[in-house]
Amino acid sequence: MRKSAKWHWKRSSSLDLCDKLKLILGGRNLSEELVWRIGGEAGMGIKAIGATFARMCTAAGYHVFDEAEYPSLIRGGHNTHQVVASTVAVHAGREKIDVLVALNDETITRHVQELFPKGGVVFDQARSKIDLQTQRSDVTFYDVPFVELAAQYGGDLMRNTVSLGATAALFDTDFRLLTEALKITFKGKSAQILKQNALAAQSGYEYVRRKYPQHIPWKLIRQPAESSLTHRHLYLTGNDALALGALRGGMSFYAAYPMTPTSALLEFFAEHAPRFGLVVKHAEDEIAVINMALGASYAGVRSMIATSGGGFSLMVEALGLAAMTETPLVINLGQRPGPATGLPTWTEQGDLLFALHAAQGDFPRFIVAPGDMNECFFETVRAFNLAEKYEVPVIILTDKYIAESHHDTPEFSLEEAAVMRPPAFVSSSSDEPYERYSLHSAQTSTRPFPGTKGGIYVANSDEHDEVGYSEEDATIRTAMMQRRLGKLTAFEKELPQPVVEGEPNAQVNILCWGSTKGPVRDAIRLLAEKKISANFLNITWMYPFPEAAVAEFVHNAHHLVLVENNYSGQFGSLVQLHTGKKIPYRLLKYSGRQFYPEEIVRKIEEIVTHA
Amino acid sequence: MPNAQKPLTIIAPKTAVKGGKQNWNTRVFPTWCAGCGDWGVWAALKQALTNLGKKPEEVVIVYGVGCSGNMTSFVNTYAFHGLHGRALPVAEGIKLANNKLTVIVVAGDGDGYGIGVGHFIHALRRNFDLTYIVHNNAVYGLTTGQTSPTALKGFKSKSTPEGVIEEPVNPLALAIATGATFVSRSQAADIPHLAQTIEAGIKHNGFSLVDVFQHCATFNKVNTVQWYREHAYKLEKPFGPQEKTKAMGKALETGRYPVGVLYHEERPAYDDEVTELKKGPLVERDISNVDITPLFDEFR
Ligand SMILES: Cc1ncc(C[n+]2csc(CCOP(=O)(O)OP(=O)(O)O)c2C)c(N)n1
Repeated sequence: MRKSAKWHWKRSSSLDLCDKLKLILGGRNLSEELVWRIGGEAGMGIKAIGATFARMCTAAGYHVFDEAEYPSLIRGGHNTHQVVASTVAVHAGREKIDVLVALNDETITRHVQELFPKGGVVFDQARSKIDLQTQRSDVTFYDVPFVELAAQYGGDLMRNTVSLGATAALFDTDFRLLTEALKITFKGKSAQILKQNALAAQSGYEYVRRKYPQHIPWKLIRQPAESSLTHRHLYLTGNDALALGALRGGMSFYAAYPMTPTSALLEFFAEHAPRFGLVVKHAEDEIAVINMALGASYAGVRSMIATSGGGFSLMVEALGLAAMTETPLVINLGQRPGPATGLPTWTEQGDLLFALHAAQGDFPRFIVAPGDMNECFFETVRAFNLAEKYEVPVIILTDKYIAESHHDTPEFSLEEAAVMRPPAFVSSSSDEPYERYSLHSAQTSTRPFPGTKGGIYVANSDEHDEVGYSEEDATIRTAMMQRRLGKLTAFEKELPQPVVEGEPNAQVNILCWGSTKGPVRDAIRLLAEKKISANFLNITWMYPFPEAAVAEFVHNAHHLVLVENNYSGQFGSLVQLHTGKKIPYRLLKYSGRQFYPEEIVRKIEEIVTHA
Repeated sequence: MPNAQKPLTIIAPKTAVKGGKQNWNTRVFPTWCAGCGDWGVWAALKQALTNLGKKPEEVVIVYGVGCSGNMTSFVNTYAFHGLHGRALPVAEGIKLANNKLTVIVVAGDGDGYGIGVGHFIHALRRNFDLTYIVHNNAVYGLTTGQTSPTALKGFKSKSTPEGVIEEPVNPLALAIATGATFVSRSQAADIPHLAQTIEAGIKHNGFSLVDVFQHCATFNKVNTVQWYREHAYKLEKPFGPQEKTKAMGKALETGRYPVGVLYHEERPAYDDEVTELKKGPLVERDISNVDITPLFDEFR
């Protein structure tokens, strides 16, 4: 990491020397992290090289978080990939960076202000029109002829790999770690491609070693094995973890229509369908997607669909159909900023109330918003179990930030992720129709699958009687509403209680949900370093609303702060609805970008100072 | 819905299927208007199931929403009454989950050729092994008689008092053009012919369109039983793949409309071609302990 340990969060000169020394020597120290960002046009291989850099970090034993930002187009535009490597677990991106790898000038223009003093820019001066005289004098510009070096190993396309080698040298990283990472990135590609990339990386590496031998300012070196096992960790996105959860959860049928940020799921399942025996369907539109999935669920398989707000809008009518026919279904709604097409490749938590209220009528549903990789995996397994047990739709609310950012995480334990199926319907010789929607037996009666003798019933979108025949009688309607909505009471007992993380009796108490958990978690750590005691309650199972836990938290809070990635504070309004408490401090962001921990820290410092 | 009054004449009473081994009726007696063509479709469908020796539990009927869809409560099989226009994707999902089932779809023309026409086109391309029975009455029955997409140009109703401006949807031509393997039409008033057509459709391995000229006694005073009798003629035998253009020519004829199986082709059904279904129905897959650990290596 940085050789000269620095205090990121308060770099003002007001820190006296003694403070500085304390920070340098202070053991667990936030300066034990390094922030690297690469930028260029779409098509320059930004994402692949970002992932390789992250893999190099995990190979060295660091925790990583990485995040890609890209516009909705295939060539051109401005793309970046940021990796935070840390000796302690890291859950969010950073506002400030140590090293910027610029494959074009736009990267420098846009991001040079984000560098820490003494930060570095790695660029190709021969290809640049940037006048260094006009640039920041407190950052170092490392000129590496990416294009010239790349020319020897296959041309322009290789400049990303050259730049990676160059930065590995600036970090004094053992080149073998980079080779390991390249091997993973190019797994399945020919030996020739791997070799070319390794040579290209090496050329950048050696160039920097030769040209800047006195100036290798950072360190990213192999961590002692006992202190970190990240090389054995999984390196995955929320989408990946959710997909693994779905596979483990017994999903057999998956249907989708491509839409960022969930398209990766369709591709993943399609690729793995033969190996796991899945049926995967890219249907004609999202209306077909959800109706197909309901057909498959009705016939007895576990099905899942995924989309974003636009596709979910088309699915809304059939969401109610799932509820009315009491057909299980797991829906992943990966949010992105709306309305309409909005910002297709960016992030927001703008669909909470939409997911909660979508479709006409009153009916029960579960909504879960995973906030980390473990939750993406384990709560997806739970989603399948609950959908089938209660015969209701379960909505998994993610967003671009959690769906597409990579984290390192320990391998998931399968024992803790068991498939639990309700008792199977037992066939009988009866020719009579079966009262599947019984008003007399338990809230959920056994669901026969078509093909089973003695189980004939109707799954009916019209209000119906116990067999499912259309029925408009007031008494039956009332009883059927009670049957469906009565499930809500049982739901609550199923769900894990949210837990407060951070210091007990803290000065600052943050409420958040879903993907803001990462930035808030890291912010709490920074606040602790600043001697501001803080804790947070992150809500994962959003609905049924965990009233008791939230009420206890808000009523005992000192400085209650809401952190939400939307304009109106949708979760805050639910908190008020359920607890009567209006949250005094609201930190809302709706620029299409997730919070940086630093932003949260700044806001909380303000609150604490002015309170 | 104009079904409050008791049906006066019942074209297809319960006894229509007497003699068959199965009783396809439920305890709910149909609510259609007296003289509605839906009675005929109901009778013919049950007849076809009987003729094929089907058992109620091995049949799933997926219904759209309309007077046609109201058949949901009247036939004793597994059933799924979906949303208006969305019966086909539900049926496709059922077939993908369990391809052993006989899956039949019952829809209206507003349902199938209006709001749900997108699904129709894709179902045709896919050639799922489904039988698609469309009650084509040129009106929206259940919403009390507005014009449907198959109404002939100039047709007047409450929603088009000055007459329809657009050309009607031509389901048979659309089906042939989109890769259908079984394209047929019959009439609700001709129960034996309709039963035979549905039976052939169910037997056909692939997507079978059975477009039914269905008179709406209450809201369509133009396309009456008499009108269909005068404007339809029976086909001798279906055209095959070699004569596809001839079949298309017939489908495009106006003024007089062919009735019978217009086009027939043998081609593997979608569900036959899905690799995973070759091992057996998806619903039989063991999901109790799916081992995902080998995948972990993909995420390093
Ligand atoms: C999304 C939606 N829009 C409108 C309706 C109202 N609606 C019910 S049935 C129907 C039309 C029925 O006409 P058709 O499909 O021709 O069937 P028919 O009643 O003539 O058998 C409409 C528009 C609905 N149920 N759902």
